[in-house]
Amino acid sequence: MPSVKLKAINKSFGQRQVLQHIDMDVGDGEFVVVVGPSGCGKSTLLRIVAGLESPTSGELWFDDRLVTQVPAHARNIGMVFQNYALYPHMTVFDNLAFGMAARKTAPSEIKHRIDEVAQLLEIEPLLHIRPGALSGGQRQRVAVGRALVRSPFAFLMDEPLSNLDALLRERMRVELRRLHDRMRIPTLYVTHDQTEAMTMADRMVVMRNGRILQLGRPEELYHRPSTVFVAQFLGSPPMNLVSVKVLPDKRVALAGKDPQGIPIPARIREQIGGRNVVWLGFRPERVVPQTHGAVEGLDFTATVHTVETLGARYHVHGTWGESPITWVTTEREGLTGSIKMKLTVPWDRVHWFDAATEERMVSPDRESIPVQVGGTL
Amino acid sequence: MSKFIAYGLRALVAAAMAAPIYWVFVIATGYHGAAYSIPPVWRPLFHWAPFLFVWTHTPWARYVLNSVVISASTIILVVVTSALAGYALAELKFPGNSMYFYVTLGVMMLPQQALLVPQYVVMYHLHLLNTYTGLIIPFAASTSGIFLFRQFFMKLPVSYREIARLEGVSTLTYLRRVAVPLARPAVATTVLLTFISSWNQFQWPLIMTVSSQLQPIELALSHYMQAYQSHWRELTAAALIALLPILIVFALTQRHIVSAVAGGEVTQKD
Amino acid sequence: MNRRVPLSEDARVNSATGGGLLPWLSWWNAYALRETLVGYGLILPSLLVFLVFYYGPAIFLMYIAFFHWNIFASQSTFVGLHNFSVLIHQPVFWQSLLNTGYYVVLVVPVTTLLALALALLLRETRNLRGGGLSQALVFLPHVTPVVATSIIWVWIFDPTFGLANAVLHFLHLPQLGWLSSVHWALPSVMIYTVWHSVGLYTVLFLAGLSTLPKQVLEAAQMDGVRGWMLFRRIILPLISPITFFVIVLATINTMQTFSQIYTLTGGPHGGAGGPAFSTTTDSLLIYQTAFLYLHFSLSSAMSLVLFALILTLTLVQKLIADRMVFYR
Repeated sequence: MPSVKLKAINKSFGQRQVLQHIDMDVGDGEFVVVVGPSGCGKSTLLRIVAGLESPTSGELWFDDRLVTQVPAHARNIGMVFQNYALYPHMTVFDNLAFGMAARKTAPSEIKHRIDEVAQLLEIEPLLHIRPGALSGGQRQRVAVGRALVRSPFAFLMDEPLSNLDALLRERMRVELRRLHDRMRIPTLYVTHDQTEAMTMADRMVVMRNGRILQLGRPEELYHRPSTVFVAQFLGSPPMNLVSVKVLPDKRVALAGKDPQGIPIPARIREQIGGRNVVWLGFRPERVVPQTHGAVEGLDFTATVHTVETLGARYHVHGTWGESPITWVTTEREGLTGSIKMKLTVPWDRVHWFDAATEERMVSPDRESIPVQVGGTL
Repeated sequence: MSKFIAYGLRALVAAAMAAPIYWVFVIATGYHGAAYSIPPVWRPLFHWAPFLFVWTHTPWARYVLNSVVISASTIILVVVTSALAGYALAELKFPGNSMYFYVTLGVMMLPQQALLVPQYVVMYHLHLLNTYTGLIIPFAASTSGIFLFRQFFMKLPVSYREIARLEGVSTLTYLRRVAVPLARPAVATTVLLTFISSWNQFQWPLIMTVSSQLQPIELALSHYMQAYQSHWRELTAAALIALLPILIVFALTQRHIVSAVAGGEVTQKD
Repeated sequence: MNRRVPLSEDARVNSATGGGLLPWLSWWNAYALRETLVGYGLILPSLLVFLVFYYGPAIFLMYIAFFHWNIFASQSTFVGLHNFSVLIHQPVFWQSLLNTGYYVVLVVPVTTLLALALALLLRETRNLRGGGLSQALVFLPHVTPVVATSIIWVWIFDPTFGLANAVLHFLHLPQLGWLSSVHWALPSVMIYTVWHSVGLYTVLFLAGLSTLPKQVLEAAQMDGVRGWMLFRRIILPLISPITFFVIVLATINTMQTFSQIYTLTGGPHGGAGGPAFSTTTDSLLIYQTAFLYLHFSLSSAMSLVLFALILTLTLVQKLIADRMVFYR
């Protein structure tokens, strides 16, 4: 049963519509990440759930309570801001106590709750210093602690890791996720970082221009992106996309001069129907060297331009015809500039998109999606 | 070489600017008749006896106390009204917000000298003539104070206020516990600037009071000036009473005052 | 939206406004209304002060100026421009305008130029020892109380024993009568005013100079622009907004000079404004007319003239500035 439910939420600032018909929910004890480029409306979405903004239309439900009209402070939300919003002139303890004290909670109760949370987050030694003296990670933890002391109905996090350096961000990712697995408080988490979204989410929501493009488990979105945008937004390096024409004999050919054409499997031909041009996408890590007869796939010859060394693997940047292509390999051997390589992508790893709508056309139906692990570590 | 000239020139200018104030000391603590010496005396003798004589034969303590009461009350009120209005202008959305900005700015544009007569009439009808209240309330709100706080509050992260909102903290509590404590530089600047203008008040009390019981030091000094014409040692000694608090405050906070005047708030200058 | 829903305890407070009292109010409108009310509450104290003691009197001024009116009499009659026609037949009124004009025309440019020169000097030598002290001493007079420092300046201007004539004597220049001379009394006040206010404008110029983009100055220096050329072609245009601000501020301030005239000229030389009305400026005349001779209506008419003059001057300066000031 969903804990937080958004029904047909719209939001406009004057003429500008920033959210369009948002339908989504956060299940009981679920960790949902909203991801999208800046300006996609994800922060507004979060602020509407918090009660800092009101939707222009639509409904917001917490369990079986309709909270659309409930003011922010009565929603019992714990929120973590990007800049943590810790008051610099108060000690950590006072920061945690501030809200409760303002609501006239008994001092003994305040102390008890803070001690509990401090123990959980291992911030007891920090209680009597000010935020200025804390490291980024400690501040992050205190901000989470402040959200936690009020035993919130739900957690809202607005890019809570983006002020940290790369290394710390990775550590805090794990830490936050572990905390969630212990507390099981429904969490709505907003970020622009697809890695964060993929690694932390039970389910994720990709947004663009105020709309939800796709919603589902990270694996689903990764393996079955519903649009070109989602396909390219998730994964690093991003998915290769090549525009191809459909030849009369139902072979496909590169937009430029490719006399050959590539035969495609019958079932895909059916899906293509009467289209003349389609987008063809494949992930860099699915590209393998051609081995005759072994796999049936999209065979092509690419020219190598540059090779990026990442240690365990290499990112090779090249071209297929005119189109830039990136692929991943673990073998450096023989990879030098401007050599030609025969490559292939198994057909079930190739994504097909309509050129006009940019929507997914054919699902690689034989492709298996890994079973959800659900973050239970 | 040109540096040397510039250095010398600067020293000369600084000395010339300070000279009149220096001579207040020289004459006030000099020997009797020092003011009539030709050529003028240059060195102070630090004779404090005449100073003590002046202090005791006129109720200066009362006048100083008046000035202190008036300045202190004005400072407190200005800080409060400025913080409140500055916060409203910076953080709250309400119809008329931007209009109030211009209302505040407009007060600065009104020529004070042209308003004295109608102000006097207003004071008369409010029965504020010849009262402490009448010397304080008209200065209880200040354009620069409001702008200073507004500027400062605008720099506070929006999330500070939003966290408070989520936790059900009232606006006044938020102001008292978070916003104003964080705006300490604005408070300091407002206190300093209000102190200076309040302590130096002259024309307003001249017009609005008759009772010597209410006179602030500057007004008392001007009466003393009429009474003790050409008694330079007594006059300068009395002037010193009005000057000293300002000189002390200035000596302690001059960096802040200068940058406050220049930039509107207390900042560390290069 | 008006659905009855179970709400938490805190939320019930709001539902009272959201549903019961004002059913047409959504929660958000209720919140916006509350924010509006809080906003008005917060501006109220300062608004009251501004209205009662500044805007109210400003409007009231118009009324008094066109009426025959006395504060202690209960009646007032509309007299139209009568007060103004009385005014223009008073030679002392024209004298005061002339004095004010003379005073402003000399003090404003001198103060502005001197402040700019001092600011440049302080900036050039800011890294030499005592930079902060020099700046403080230049600024110091501005914070001193006018009456207290006027006392020493009356002594300085003393024709026999004063410092001013001692300096002139040292320089082998003729001695002057200063405050007791019809020709030199107003210039004496000017000297005091420049001394008292130049520090303020210097500091404003210094603030302006400190915001000059370093790259521009360095680029100019690499192009071989230096000295007067650098000042005239680069610095002056860049600080023109500050210059404009200083000129406007100095004009408004000098047009309203009161305290130093009152104290410097009120001493042994007869009532303030003397000798022979040579230092009677508009502010002083407004004060004397109202509070010495109790002609409130006449004084208000004068106030209105001063008001109009300041407004016109500021507008004219603004028009000139729009052509000359370079805004970054």
